[in-house]
Amino acid sequence: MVSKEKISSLVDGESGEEFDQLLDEIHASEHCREAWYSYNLIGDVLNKTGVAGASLDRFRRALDAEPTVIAPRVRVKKRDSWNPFVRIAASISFVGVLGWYVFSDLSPLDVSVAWKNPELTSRQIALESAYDEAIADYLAAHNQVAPRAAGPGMIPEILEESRGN
Amino acid sequence: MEAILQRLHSGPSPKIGAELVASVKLSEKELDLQLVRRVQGGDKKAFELLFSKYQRRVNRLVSRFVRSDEEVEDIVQDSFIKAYRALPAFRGDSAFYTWLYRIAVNTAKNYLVSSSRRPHAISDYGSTDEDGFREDELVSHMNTPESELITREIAETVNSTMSELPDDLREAITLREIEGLSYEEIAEVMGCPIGTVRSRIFRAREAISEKIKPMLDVGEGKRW
Repeated sequence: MVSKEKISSLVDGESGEEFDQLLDEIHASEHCREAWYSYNLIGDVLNKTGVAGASLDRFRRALDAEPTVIAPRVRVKKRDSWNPFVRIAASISFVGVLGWYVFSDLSPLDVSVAWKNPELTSRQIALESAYDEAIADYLAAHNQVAPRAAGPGMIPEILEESRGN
Repeated sequence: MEAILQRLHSGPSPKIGAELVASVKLSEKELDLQLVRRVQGGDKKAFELLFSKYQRRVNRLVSRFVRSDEEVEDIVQDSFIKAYRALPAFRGDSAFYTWLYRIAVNTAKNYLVSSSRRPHAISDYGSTDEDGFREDELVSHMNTPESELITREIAETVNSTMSELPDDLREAITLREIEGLSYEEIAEVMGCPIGTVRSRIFRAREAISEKIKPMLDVGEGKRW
């Protein structure tokens, strides 16, 4: 059985880790409940709070008539670190980048590369032009050698287009 | 003892004072919160302990609104039952007693409104101290002359036993109950280990408890 000294400490909020165990023992023992009652009563008399109170028997009957309350466990909601303004700004930025990517000839990546190194970009454009010319020459030669019936539609069109560039 | 109390109130130690009393109250708040959590988990008996602890304070509070002893007791009980029903919503942001206090005041006011009466003024009842306590309150709220006598006897016995206690026990329980110091602070003031403080307070309480026990066994209903 729990010692009354521990109940005395509990009354003072100095019981430490044993709280649940102490409470269980107080519930189980009238002797302990008496100690809890009288230690609190002594404190109230010394503090001049008074002695008068209600009958615990009567209160217990009223309490017994009540359905047992059980509080729902509080779920700790993970706090969303994205504040609404950041979300809106992020959405607008995303739509902007996407729009630029879809509707622009240059992708943002190309632009950033061009912006960083214009000399490299002009060299790359020259290389691409030379490549296109070589392809056009090849296609023209191929067109002359290839049988007409094999593909009359596409190759001349491609040839013309590549020459136009 | 006088010297200790004097040192306590005016002494240079920065650790003793309002700050420390606040820490004691925090501890009491934590204790109540733990009891409340038990009740919220379905433990009704833990609420009986809260009732046992706070019924006198609530009784004293309600008696400022209502004169009749029977009505006071009804309102006290009603307040605790309302608190019990509302307990699932209690989150512990405020102290349990502060929350209970508001429920009791509202219950008393509603009672007066429903019975179309005005609360009586405290000044109608003679002198009060700074805490609103009236000496006559100690004996004014029991229903029968017999129980009034017992109540008066309990108060007198507690006070007389206190004066008969050995100095070290009396000092320890005074520092705890009247000055509101924690065990650690009492140990510092009295210059002894915390374990000794714990033991002294307990022995003081037991000595008083033994004297009042015969009075608690009589009267209406069990008190614990």
